[in-house]
Amino acid sequence: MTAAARVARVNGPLVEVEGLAGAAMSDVVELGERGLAGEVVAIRGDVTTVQAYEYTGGLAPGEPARSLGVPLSARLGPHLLGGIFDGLLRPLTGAPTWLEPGRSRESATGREFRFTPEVAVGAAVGDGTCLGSVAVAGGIGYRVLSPPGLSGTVEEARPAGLVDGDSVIAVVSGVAVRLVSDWPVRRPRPYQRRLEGAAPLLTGQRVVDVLFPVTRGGAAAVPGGFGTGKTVLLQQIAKWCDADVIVYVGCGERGNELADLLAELAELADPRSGGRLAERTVVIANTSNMPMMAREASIYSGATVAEYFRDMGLDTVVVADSTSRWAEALREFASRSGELPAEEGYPASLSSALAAFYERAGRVITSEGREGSVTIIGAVSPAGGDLTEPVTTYTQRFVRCLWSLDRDLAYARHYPAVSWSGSFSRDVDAVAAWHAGSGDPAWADRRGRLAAVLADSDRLSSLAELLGVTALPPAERVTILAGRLIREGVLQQNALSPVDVYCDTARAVALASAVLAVADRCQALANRGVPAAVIEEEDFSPVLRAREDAATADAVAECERAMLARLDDLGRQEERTREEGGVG
Amino acid sequence: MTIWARREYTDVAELRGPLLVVRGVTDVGWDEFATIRMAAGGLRHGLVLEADRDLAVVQVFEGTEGLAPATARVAFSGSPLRIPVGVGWLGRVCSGRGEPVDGGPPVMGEVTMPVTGTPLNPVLREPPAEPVLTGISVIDALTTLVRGQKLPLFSVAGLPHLELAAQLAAQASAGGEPFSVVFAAMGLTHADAAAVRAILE
Repeated sequence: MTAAARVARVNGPLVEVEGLAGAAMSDVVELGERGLAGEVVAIRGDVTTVQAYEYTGGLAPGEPARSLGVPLSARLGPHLLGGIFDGLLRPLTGAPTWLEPGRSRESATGREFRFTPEVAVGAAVGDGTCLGSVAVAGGIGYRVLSPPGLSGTVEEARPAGLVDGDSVIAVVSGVAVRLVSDWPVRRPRPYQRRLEGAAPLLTGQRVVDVLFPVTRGGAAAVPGGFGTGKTVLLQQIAKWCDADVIVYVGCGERGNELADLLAELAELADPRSGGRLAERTVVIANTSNMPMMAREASIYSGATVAEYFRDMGLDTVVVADSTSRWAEALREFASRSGELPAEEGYPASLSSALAAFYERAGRVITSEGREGSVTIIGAVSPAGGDLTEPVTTYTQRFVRCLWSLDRDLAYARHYPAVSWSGSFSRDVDAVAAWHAGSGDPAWADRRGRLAAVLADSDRLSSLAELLGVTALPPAERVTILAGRLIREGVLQQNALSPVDVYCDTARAVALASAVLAVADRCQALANRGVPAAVIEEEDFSPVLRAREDAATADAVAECERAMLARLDDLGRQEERTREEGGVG
Repeated sequence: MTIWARREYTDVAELRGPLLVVRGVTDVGWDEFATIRMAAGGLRHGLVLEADRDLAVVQVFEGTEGLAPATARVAFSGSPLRIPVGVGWLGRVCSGRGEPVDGGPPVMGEVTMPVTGTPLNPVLREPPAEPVLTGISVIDALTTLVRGQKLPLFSVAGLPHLELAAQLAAQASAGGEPFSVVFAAMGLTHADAAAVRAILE
């Protein structure tokens, strides 16, 4: 009998329980008098091993334990939008200042929402039929769907009006459907099928959108050593990307940074709805001092929340900062439970755990037949900046994009410090096809040229360091110059400038074209015999300042014309000087 | 109020390195604070590293040297380590367990708090913005210390990091608002610890 179950052994978050009959793997167990939450991770004979999600100090052998008979589930509903939750999706807004162990798992569902039904009594309902909609802030079409696996006829339907989270909104073949629903966080939510083809997720960060695009339903990882700006880049993407719902999982990161993000989200106006950006953001916070094992769950909670909104036909983004802290939680528990350590002490299951997480990204046809997507962007914090450590190497295998942050760039104040040589996107061709279909057939060529010039410029710069720049022929010196123009005029972005903090596609294209046109004109001047030193001394500020000064694509084009005119002047002047010299 | 004597366990099953395993215990929780009484009358302290049925594995802070299974008596406090907190701490020098090493009376406080702390609800955190004035111009001007922030001091052997840390502790202020400094010296040599005390006192 469950009532007789007793705690037998406590070693940090690893708790062994005896007599927990009928408990299944992954079931939630309440431990001790305080009811600390935990999850079954192993069963051997009469002994059940439980991974506790909270600090177990003071928990003694002999205390009672109780299995809830359900796996760890997220409570999903309209209350999530604009909310801040811990790793087990317990609300933090309204929680006490100091988070004592043993808080209730029940979400506060006291808020009321305006509900409009979309089915009538007698209607047939299948997987994911829309039962009604709820008015939420942020301009999101919030649809209440029949839960997966439920089909039948509607026996009762709630009329339009105010409802709270626990309200039954319909009864389908004897099963009451409430506004909120529970879903086990480790199980991906079902959909009809995955979609081929790709549309880019526009992040507003030029180096991403122009060089290393991520698709809706794709997965990206951001590895970078200490202080290279991972958190800033991810927060910028969370604030500016064009997804409908953003799930930000602060996983084992500093509380002060999270406080910064929360303050900024609350202030930022949403460019789409005119409200606050926070209204369509879900924040899951498990800061570095909060219980380690809840961190392990927070990643899955985030993915589940994103899938829930995806099923309504929305585009969602999960930003996880940082997956390394999550992997460390896996490692800590594995070593306590006596698992054989694999590379660097991580459990052998690390790679499959990472795969299971990143594979929840995808663009799908939902059960209802709409199109929705989950994009996952995860930070990786390799210790000592060592990109060969297991979390980074495994992550690279499962993501479509890698935005590798470079220490030298970061310390040279090049933001975002995404390294063009160390990053990749496997979706460049698909995104190029999308751009070609959306009226920009030159996208692939432009990206190819930018990447080629950057690579050439890097190669020649290292040569110039050995030989001195004057030993290079003029054409190659101009290539080095072109690389600098691309870095300073396109790739760098000023997160503090109101114009440059976000860059739409048209302006990004205009900036890239402008810099390439200027580079071409310089190359032409060099070919006509203008000395490279003269070209290098030219003031390129019109095109370099365009990213901060020119707010629209037209204004950028204006800067481009001004710069080209200046170069033409330079060419004419140089020719005159030479003719005069020739006559004299 | 009657203070009942804590139950003492004498069945020490194993002593190895800093670990002491005591058998036959009941109601001893993980991370609980333990006191070990020696035959000669000395006291040692420890924490429960693992509670397994009727066994408790105790890590002894002061080491197990001189402990004998036949004579050691182990008592448990019933909760993770708590220390009294309050203004009584100001001006005192204490050991890692909160016991005075400055020759003064025990530190008293009206409330006790667990040394493991409790996580702060991130929603209620204020983003740090106000500076701590250290009086060291390179820090105040270039890498300002902010109230509510934590900053590491990276150093190697032979560099005066301890002097800098002690100077920071001695000079820092928050511009007239109540401000106190807790200096935790871990693994310092006696000479270093004495130097820090001299600077602060």
